[in-house]
Amino acid sequence: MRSLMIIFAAAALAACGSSNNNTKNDAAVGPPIDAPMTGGPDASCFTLGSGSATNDEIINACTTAQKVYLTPTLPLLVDGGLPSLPQ
Amino acid sequence: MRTSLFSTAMVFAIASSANASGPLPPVVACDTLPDPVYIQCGDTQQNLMLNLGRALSNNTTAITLVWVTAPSCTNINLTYVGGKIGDGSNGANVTTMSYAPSNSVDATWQPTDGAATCSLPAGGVVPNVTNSALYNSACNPPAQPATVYLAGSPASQTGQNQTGGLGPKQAYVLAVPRGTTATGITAEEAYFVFGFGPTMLEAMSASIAPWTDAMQVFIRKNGTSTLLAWGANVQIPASKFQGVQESGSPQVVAALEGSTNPGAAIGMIGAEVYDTLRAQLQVLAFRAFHQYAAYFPDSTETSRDKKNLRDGHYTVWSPTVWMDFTDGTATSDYPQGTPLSQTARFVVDIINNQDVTLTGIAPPDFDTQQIVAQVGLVPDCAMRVQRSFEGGPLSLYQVAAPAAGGPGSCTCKYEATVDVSTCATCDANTPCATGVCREGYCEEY
Repeated sequence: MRSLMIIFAAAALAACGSSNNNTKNDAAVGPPIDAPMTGGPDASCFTLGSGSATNDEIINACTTAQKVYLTPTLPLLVDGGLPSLPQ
Repeated sequence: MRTSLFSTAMVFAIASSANASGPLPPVVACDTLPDPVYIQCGDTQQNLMLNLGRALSNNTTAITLVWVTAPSCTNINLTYVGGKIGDGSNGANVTTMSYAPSNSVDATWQPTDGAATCSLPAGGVVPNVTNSALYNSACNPPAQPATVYLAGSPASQTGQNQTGGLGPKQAYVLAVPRGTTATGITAEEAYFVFGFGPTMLEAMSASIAPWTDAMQVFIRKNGTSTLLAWGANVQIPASKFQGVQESGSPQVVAALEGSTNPGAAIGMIGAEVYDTLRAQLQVLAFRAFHQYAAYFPDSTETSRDKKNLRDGHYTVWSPTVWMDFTDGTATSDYPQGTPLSQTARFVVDIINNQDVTLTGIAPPDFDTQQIVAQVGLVPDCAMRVQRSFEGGPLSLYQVAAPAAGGPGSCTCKYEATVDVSTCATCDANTPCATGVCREGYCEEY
């Protein structure tokens, strides 16, 4: 759990420290790599500026497109990550 | 002004063996057809071949596309290592190939009638054009020979343009039988369904509902763009996919439509295949790793605008890479070598929306990019994101403007062709308030 919190904090810092013009519409931050994302109607989005944008800003950019919110139950590892694929 | 050029008459169906317009022309020798260009391409490009082939066969400068389909990695290997189609080496092991007859041969033929057939010359043929429907690097090919041309490479380009990725973009989807309950799938769910499989998940006392039947998970074989594109997006190496391997897109479609347990069925196909079968199948919205919501390739489940592919919200897409062969000696006109066949280069260039002046062949008397759009592909000029390898991170993108040697944006025209455009229209008497007037639409640049 501590490691997850550290990653969340790092992600938040990275978002706040972005040097491009992209802005997020609220203070929520994305989850760490390999962690499940529950999303939801209140998930935030990025308003892309005229400069560059990261992959995560692009795929979560604000849009009028139809959204499908999913909340799957997954057999994740205890740390929230994906288990390795079977051999 | 809202305009729409789309109509049901423009829906392009998968080729079927039935010919609604009468029997197909008799089998002829391929080398007797007008100016044949031999192509080995991915099976997702079948509709493009049928429709573009028909248009080129009726073009002022008549050209016959003669094609056979094979997995993308097979096509790349043929291109990089060499070989012939039909001689039992690296090319497709066939004795006949497909073509679209001209009006003079069959005036009533439609692409939905399916391809006509011609017989290969004895000993096979060296392909003039090859195609993969993903970044070539995904197949771990040998080094690209100097005699292979990939559009945009290795000129001073970046991102997708550096890797032959100028070609139209192709989306891949996960589909389920129409009428079942699933509406979307996350990358994590797909990782479990296709990486572990329902049987192994059950042994782990786990499941990903509703995909709990191992015999209802339909995949493609290793080496196909469809499988590799999905693997790159859900972090599953091709060799580790679990599921029932089908030999082609039509077989996946048949498996879904004929499923004995439709509520648990899921299969991977090209979006352009799905687009012709919306009454029977239902596309799943996909949520990528790190994404908040799942999206369809189009802005809504029922639209056809590929907006989410174009702006990055739908991540499972690849470029179609079109290749031809050169003498390998760079010149000022041809930094990648002079084409061995200007007709082959002409075909590659019109698909890639490139200038054809150097080929010495007049521009086609039809709109190639309209055909590209109508068969479910997205022209590069309508893209707003790019990547440089299969499943790689996206970055923002704009095709070069005419002043910089590019075609400029075609977003408005693309949207009008496939769905509805909200762009202003323009002509010589009605200039654009903003943007650039191009082909009747006020494009952004």
